[in-house]
Amino acid sequence: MYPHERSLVEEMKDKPFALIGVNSDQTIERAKKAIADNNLNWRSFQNKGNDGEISKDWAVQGWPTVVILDREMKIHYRGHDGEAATKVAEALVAKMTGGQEKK
Amino acid sequence: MRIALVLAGSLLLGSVAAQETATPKPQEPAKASAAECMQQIQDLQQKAITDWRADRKQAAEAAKGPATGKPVKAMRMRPDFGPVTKMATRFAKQFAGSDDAVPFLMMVVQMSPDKTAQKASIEEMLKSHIDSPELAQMGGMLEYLPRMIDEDFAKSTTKRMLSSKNADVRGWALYATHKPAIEKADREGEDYAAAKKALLAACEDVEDQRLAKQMRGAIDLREKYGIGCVAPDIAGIDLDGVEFKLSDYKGKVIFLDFWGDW
Repeated sequence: MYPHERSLVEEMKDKPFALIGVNSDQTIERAKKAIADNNLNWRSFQNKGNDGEISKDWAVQGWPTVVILDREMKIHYRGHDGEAATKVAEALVAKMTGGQEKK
Repeated sequence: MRIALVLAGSLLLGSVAAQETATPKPQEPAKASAAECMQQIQDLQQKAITDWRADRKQAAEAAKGPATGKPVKAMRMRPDFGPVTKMATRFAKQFAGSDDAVPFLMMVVQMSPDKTAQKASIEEMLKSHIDSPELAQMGGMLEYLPRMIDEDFAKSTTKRMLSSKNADVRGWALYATHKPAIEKADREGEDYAAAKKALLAACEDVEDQRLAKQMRGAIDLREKYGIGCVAPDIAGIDLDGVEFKLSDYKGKVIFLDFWGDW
């Protein structure tokens, strides 16, 4: 997953797109090591473990889980398939930037 | 298999807790009670696990030593529950006709590697114990039945459980019946509305509050975090301890990634 997400952030850096993580490692050190070792380039909330507040609120039961939100924060995808999620996100971004160019 | 073990374990604990604390009278060799039989099975099950662990340890140590050229005994992937299943089958027969048989039948379903035996035990529970509260233990298994036995058998089991006089047994069957629509049907459509109505009504009827919570949870999940919902905001801190909100990124397409390195 890391290389996929990393290159997605790279490709989309000039587009209306943000990859936001909710990190569920038990310790921040562990998360930071993963970020340093893998050159991860996105910002993450601290969830502190699989039973953290954020994942509990969102009823996340499997990892990784990806949710795609549009500009109004409406949910367009929720699931475990990173590639399917990416396609949904790319289509939403294309719709937005396509509209802007027409203006 | 772990699920089955946990289920079997909780079943055992439940029965042991219900056991009366009267001391047995050895001079009167009365027939063992269902609770005593359950204790016997529990002991046998524990022995199977202990033996299996010892075997594994021995095999691991043997593997460390110098190669002898002799064939190494294969390690079992799980304890041998054959004798446990056999005993459960025997007790199920002994208590046949009484609801005391149900926990033993359930053990056969959970532990037997034999599909025919599993199927026969389920059939017996549906036929003779459909109103027993113990049958609610089948509830959590309904979603595994298509893989354990087959799709048709799972469907007919669910249907027959719907006719139980016990609210929890009916509740589990209702949950299994309506869950697919809650997860996938069009939220504006009639199927979704009907499924939701049925589950909310079942929530009021069931005694098992964990089941009610699970049913409400399925609806909540779909209505708060399902496709088409506006996501709730997240306010938290990043890994450097800086506060931020998900809505800081409103206006962009957000790829929200629940991740961990573990």
